[in-house]
Amino acid sequence: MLRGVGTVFGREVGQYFASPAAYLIAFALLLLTGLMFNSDLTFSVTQKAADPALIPSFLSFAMVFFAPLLTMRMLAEESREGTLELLLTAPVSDTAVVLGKFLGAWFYYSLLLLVTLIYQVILAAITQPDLGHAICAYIGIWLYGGATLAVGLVFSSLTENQIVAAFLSMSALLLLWLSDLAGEIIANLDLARLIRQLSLQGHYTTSFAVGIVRAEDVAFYAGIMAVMLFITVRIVESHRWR
Amino acid sequence: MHRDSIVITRNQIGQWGAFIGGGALLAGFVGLLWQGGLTPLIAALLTVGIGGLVLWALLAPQEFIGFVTGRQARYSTMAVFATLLLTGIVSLTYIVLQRAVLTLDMTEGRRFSISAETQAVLRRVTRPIRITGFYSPAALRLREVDDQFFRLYEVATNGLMTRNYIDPEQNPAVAQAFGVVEDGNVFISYLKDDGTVDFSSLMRVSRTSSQERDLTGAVARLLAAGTLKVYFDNSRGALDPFDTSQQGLSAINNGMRENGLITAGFNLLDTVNAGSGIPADAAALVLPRPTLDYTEAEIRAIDAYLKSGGAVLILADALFNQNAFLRQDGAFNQYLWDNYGLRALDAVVVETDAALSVQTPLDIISAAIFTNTDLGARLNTGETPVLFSVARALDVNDSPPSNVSNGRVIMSSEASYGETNLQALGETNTYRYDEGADLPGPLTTVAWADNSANRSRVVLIGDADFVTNGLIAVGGNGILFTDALTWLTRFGEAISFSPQAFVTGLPMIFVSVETLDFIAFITVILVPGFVLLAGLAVWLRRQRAS
Repeated sequence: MLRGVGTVFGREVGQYFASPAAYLIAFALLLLTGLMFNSDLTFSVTQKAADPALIPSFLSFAMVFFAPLLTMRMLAEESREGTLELLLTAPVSDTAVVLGKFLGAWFYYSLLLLVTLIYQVILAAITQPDLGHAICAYIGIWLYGGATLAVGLVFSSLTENQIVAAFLSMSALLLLWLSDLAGEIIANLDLARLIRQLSLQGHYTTSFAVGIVRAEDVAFYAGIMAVMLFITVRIVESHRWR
Repeated sequence: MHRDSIVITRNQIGQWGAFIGGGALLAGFVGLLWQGGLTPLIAALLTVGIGGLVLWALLAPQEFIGFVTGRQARYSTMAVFATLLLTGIVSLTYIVLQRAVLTLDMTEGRRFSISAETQAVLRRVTRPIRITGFYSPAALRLREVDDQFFRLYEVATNGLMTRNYIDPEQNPAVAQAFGVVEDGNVFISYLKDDGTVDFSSLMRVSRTSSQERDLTGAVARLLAAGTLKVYFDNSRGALDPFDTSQQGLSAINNGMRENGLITAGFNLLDTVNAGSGIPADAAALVLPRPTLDYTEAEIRAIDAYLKSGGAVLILADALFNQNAFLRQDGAFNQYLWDNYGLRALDAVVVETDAALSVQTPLDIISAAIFTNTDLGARLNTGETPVLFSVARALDVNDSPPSNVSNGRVIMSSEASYGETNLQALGETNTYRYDEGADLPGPLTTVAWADNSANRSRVVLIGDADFVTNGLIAVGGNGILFTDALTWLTRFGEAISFSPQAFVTGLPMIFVSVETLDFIAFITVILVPGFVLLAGLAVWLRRQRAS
């Protein structure tokens, strides 16, 4: 299966680098993070120490919109163009197809994260940032990104229309992001807590973003990825049931 | 005219029954799980659900049988169950890890780990302690921030400290019993044998910028609670710690008890007349402005107490009666001067600087606070000034007796003076600076003395009104009294520790405008621009290829 995963992964990564859209997404993300970094830096001069989690924290919101853009075409396009059936007849398992595609998207996202490390390098050159805090925030946002991509992949597998897939993913991710604020609108404490436990943001802002890694938060993101990829595999598999 | 007739088949009715029934069943099961029991609405939903499915089975039997026994149904049912199983495993793992409290603090200053000093305090915990937090749904995030800190205490004490969170909106009676005043209030207390909160040990955890200091301080106070007893002299018309009127001291008395000190009334005159002395268990004795001065016998009793390592807090207000307490030429005042280098002067401080007085020049605000002293460390003239009303000026001997160190805590401004004509002030409320007769400012209003040989301590404050119920909440009045007692009883030493600095400790950023411009060029133009150019190149290559 690993060979299958590797084959699909290589194909996906190749498609990213051959697609102008991927560069446009990277451009938009880097422009936004660059503006955010400079804005905070200008404000911080002589006022406060650098915030090592600034960019990862911004990405935790940005990924609600960027993750669907990265995943919307992955299975929806294959389905629309009829190549999915072709892929399913190839000597690779459905799991390998889904895992390969997911890992390809996660790899691309990881490269984007690596580029944003330039901000930490700049901070290290002009001041003394808390590197441990920064590394922690990046670990968190890397896992967070993986979870958002896995959610996006589910919706990409549900429809042939990329726009619909992106819209549904954004809606779902926005809901998961907003559920961090459940307590503000829900009077029932237990229900509010339950909903907040499911929020993507809730497992990032009070742990990774402040410099601590909690095992349950790692488990949460890993669990979201596992369940979402499992569902995606079942949905892809359902093409064979008809 | 041709009219199209609408034809509804049995199959279609059956399908509608399936949709409605399925939806109702799902809603019914969710409701059943949520409510934990059958309500009329849930029963109705389940009935509609079953009815809908029965309708489907009756009207479209082929489709129903096909759905239940078909290949697609089998696979999808398996897939749903497998997904639920995986979700269950993930949830279980999450819960187990959450309970295991596995946390890695990656910050440079280890800001989210408890310090060695806190661990030393926690090693002294031998009885179950409960942290009770009151958080409404709106304060969920605050609760989570607090919780990740509180659970470190739970782990460090091997479960002797436990957490319990209560929604004050859902449980207003419980919140009232604890004395909750706002969302996010936290309390600590011992637990009784039956696992309920021991309200007699209940303490509020203050909330400042340092969670560790707040919580460890509260734990240390709880551990020290009940070991220190403070007596209030209630002889000769002294202020009463149980009086709830504006002139009473009940508020500060309650505050002291909330912080773990035992307080009790005590009649010095009766005790001396009975031939007894000041109780040996007195960690401190408060003399809250008796109206008449002490006799030689009372002074001897105080002297014996001090020589045994006692501590006395003297609230010496300006009084206009005969033989007033701590009059300048009185025996008790002379005793203090001879033994501790402190005395009260027969002069009332008049503050002529309008910015340092409130309603009249006799209501004075602290102009200078010696924050390098234990008593003044938490006070400052800006945010927590101390307000005195008709305060007496004090004198501090800069060459105190041997083994005694003394000093000032609060002084009035250079523009103030000490009115010595107390008769005119008392009878007609008139005051005027008389060169030669009145005392030029600045004047001392709070002073301390410490005898290192016999470990006795004295704090002399030239006012008593500041600690009454009417004024205790003003500025730093409460802090001055509390910290004076903390120093006198050495309570601070019992609970002192150096908490982790909860500031980042990282340097601020200092860069030139040119550097900022260069950084902006790299991050906003160069890096995104390079990526955009790469994208353009890919697009052009694809265009050429096609």
